[in-house]
Amino acid sequence: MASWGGTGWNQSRWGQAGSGPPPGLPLGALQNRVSQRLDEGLIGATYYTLAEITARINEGYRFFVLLTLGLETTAVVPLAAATTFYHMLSAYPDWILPLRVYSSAGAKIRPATLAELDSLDSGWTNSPGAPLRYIARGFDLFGIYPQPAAPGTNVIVTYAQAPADLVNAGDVPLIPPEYQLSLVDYAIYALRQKEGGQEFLKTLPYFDRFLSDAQEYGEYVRTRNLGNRYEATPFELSLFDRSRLGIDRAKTPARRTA
Amino acid sequence: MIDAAQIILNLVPALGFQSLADLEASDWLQDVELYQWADEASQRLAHQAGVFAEWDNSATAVSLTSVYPAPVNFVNLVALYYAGAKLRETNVAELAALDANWPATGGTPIRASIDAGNLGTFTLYPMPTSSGAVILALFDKYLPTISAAASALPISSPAQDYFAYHMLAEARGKESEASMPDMAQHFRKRVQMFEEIFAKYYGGGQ
Repeated sequence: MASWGGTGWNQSRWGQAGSGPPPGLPLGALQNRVSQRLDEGLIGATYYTLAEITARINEGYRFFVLLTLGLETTAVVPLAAATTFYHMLSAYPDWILPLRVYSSAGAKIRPATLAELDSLDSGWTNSPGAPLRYIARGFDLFGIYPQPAAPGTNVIVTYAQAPADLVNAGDVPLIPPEYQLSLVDYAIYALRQKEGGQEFLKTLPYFDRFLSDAQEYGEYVRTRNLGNRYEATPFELSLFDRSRLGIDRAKTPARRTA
Repeated sequence: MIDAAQIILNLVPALGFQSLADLEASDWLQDVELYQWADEASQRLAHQAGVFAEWDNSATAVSLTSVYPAPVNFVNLVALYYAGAKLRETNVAELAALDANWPATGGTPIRASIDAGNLGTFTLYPMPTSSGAVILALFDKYLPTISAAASALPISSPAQDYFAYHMLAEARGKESEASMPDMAQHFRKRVQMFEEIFAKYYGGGQ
């Protein structure tokens, strides 16, 4: 599917999008920092294998993006004739949720609930015409009202995007550079889960710091999404009680500098 | 699509094993248990967050038949449409109050009830008097049983960690020498955190 308008985190604070590789720490550097901070030396670790470290960095990367909705892309979605519903994950495996939908002519297609569509048009599931509203339910159900009678109509969908795993040492996570160290924090917390007890408790401040970074960036994304008239905002971490996870925030150290 | 087999493979070090073969050789844990817990996670997620939304328009009206089977794997019926028109959800007490002879009344359906018939069915009122109209159901479903032979999950990549933490919670909560009740508790809280995130993004479940 053709991309429209580019992919990635909002770079307006850090420079122009598409002007080269994303800035920040590549996977290899993140692996090294995790390994060093676990007193394993550089890559070649024994107790925590490289594959395990990579898996936990990627887990943190996914969780950061889920919490902040900080990664987005825009796609041209072709509509089938007389079809109301679509499963977006079949065509867009990185789909998280829709942020904004436009017609190919640039008109906004507004979100609606089922109750609103039922009130608007009692036969909305079977009404031919140019799309005016959309609904989203669950992980990936996407519905359009009215439905084009013939194929050839596209809608432009901006959606929160799930990140692709970091695989190669040069892969850079698509989150702003100042938050990339939070992936190191998360990996340390996640890697030491298998030890349990006191050893694990020592890592909860790292998890707390990761959540604080996600909260800070999530608040930026929320403000930006509201300004862009997006229809979804990030999870409100400020309202989440971290003590439920065993976190004692008084023990969380300040962020290290890179 | 995410493969539950890959989630399990990623969990192997977190469970203290060096390889899947190492895990399978243990007295503590078998991979079949991990698949069972993945299946329990998907069912819990379906009920808690209603994330597996589905539609089905395979049913058509049959003349003088008011009761139809609910869609396969349904958890919660969200809406029913008869020939494109919304059917009002009505419980059996309301049907009885509306029409003392409701089971035998014929006409074009305008209401639907999920408690008037047997479990796993829905009932149209009035009973259709002609055949062929499409009945569209919008519903929340649960996934088919997850196993080594059927391990594909229709989820985006961040949701895979919900399954991973559910499996970790069950594995560490299991009575064994490798039991870690404190960690099991923490993992359950992580599962709940995911459910709160999904509820915010996708709406609540049942």
